Amino acid sequence: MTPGPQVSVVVRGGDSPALLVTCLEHLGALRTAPHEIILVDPGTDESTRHLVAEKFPDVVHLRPPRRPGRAQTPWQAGLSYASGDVVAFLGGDTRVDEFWLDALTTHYADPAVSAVGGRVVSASPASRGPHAVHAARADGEALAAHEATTGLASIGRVLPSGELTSFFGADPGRPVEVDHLPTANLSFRTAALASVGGFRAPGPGTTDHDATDAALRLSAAGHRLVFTPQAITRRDTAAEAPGRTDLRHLFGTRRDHLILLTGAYGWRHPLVRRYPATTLRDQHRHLRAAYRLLRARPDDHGSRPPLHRRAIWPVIFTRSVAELAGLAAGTLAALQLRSGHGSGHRSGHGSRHGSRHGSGHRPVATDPGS
Amino acid sequence: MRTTAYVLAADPAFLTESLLAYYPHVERIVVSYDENARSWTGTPLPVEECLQAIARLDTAGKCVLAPGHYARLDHDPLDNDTFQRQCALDQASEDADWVVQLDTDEVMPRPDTFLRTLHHADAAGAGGLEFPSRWLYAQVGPGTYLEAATRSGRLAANYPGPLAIRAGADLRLCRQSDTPLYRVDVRPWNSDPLHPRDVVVHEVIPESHAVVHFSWVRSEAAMRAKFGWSGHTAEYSEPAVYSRWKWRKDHPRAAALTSRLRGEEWYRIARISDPPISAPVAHRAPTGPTGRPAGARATAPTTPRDLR
Repeated sequence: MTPGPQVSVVVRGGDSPALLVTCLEHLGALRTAPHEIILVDPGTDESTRHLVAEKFPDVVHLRPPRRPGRAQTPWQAGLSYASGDVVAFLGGDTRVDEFWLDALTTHYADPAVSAVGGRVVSASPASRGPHAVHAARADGEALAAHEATTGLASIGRVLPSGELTSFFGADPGRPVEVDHLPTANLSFRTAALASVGGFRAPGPGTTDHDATDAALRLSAAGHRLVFTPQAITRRDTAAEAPGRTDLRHLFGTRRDHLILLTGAYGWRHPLVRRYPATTLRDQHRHLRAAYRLLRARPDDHGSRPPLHRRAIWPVIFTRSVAELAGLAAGTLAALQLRSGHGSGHRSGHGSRHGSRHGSGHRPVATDPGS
Repeated sequence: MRTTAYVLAADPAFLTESLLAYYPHVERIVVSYDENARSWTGTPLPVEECLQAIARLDTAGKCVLAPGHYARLDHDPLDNDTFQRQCALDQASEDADWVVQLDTDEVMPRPDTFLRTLHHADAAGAGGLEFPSRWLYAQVGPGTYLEAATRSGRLAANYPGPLAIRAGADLRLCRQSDTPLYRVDVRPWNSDPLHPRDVVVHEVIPESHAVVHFSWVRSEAAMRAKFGWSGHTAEYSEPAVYSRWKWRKDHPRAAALTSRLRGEEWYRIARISDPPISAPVAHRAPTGPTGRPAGARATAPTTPRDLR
């Protein structure tokens, strides 16, 4: 029997020491232990560092330095240190199932597979926040059923319109091929990830989408990415819900989306050309909603909006402004990155091999186990 | 990936062209027909003519005859439609991963494209493949048709239901199922005015690769018979429906030019040269009141456009 690949697990620390400890405890209870566990957390305070060192002496704790003005990519810091054939990445606020690692690694038996991701299941509806109103409010089972059955044929896709779909809570019952993977539960064949340059900050001032950016670049380069519903992580924190209408979110989504597309596919790709058209088409819903309020048109249920509701039509209209502004900002940012001015936003850690084998800068590491 | 198919043997008009297009690419074809050669409304069907045509093209012995009793007059014709399809689908599902469910008046011009997208649907974990079809309203001349369009004159793709479905699926109505669908379209955004604007499009193919649905490409006699004997007689038998079709068939360019002036039912003139149409449609349709017309649809209309 061929032994499975050696797996390094990189955990990105979060704001809650309690959740981080729970995450590491679950990693310790895996049926198949990973080759190494690396915690990357630039923001950890001393008490958390001591807590982790005391309870999990085998965990490697990396604290990449904060560099003013330069966005850091914790994933890249972990990748630089990792020595496994496969590197798995986890959010520090998640809890893995017992067979999580086995479910992920079994797909690497196929040499064509370069990345594997798994389901991210919301464990507690109560903690999902006000934006989860689209989903079942009532109980966890209803929410789980909603997540498991929504978007089954559209998991992790890049659509011809340039849009990205997620639906990483869905359970299609079988492994499916995808174009990108969930940021809190994914793994890469180390060599494949290195071949596309590892992680990088996809846009100015943000590292939020570095995993999505890496997965998209792998996919664009012709690598095969798999989503397996058997590799489950659970999280209590609020998952991003569709239908959010706050202006900052609308602006950021359009901006980051365009940056991701241009970073993965280049300016000449049809997806990049179509996405602005898709954004313009999508304004139909905001403009229609604003018009309905302005003219007191009945909604789909036939009821007319009351006066106080009608008065907010300019607010609805500003959503369109925010999205179009985000698109413009994304265009400028992508142009900046293309022309090289954005190189300062790339990760300063270099490739994994360079870092580990001496040709690059190794991140500052506190390794209680060594 | 093991792929089979089923067909309903009831309409010989484009049967040979339809089957031959995907015959080499499937392992088995279940040929479902009523054992008494009756339609879902109890009218006679040219089943024997269909079976003879299938026997002629079945050079590899892939076709499996599956007679049954589907003219259940105490049931709604649409229920009979769904029932017959479900029986055929169940039989075709044995030792299969996917089942192609094309009607015999629907022709794949590019089976390679269809199969490629079917592989993509399988890899994406979908339960069905929604593939666009070009809905033809009337024949203008050789290789020229009046086809459904948007108001602006662009192709309006038609989706009567998934044209391939995962083996063992349950049908809800006719070909439609509540399974997650992989949607192929001719544009990056939904091109069917009858579907929601924001429906997800997973893949885009050229217009010329879409399935060609010779829905109302019939002789006048066949259309009269179709309106009289279809399961949708109530809608078709309106005199205005036939009058409109007759006028537009006789004045296709005027029908296309005036499309924008209408609130619905938009058409354009289209040239469709592939595949070659060998069937002289006018001679295929029975004109008597007791025979189901060759043009009578084997499927039930599932969208308002089908009821035009």
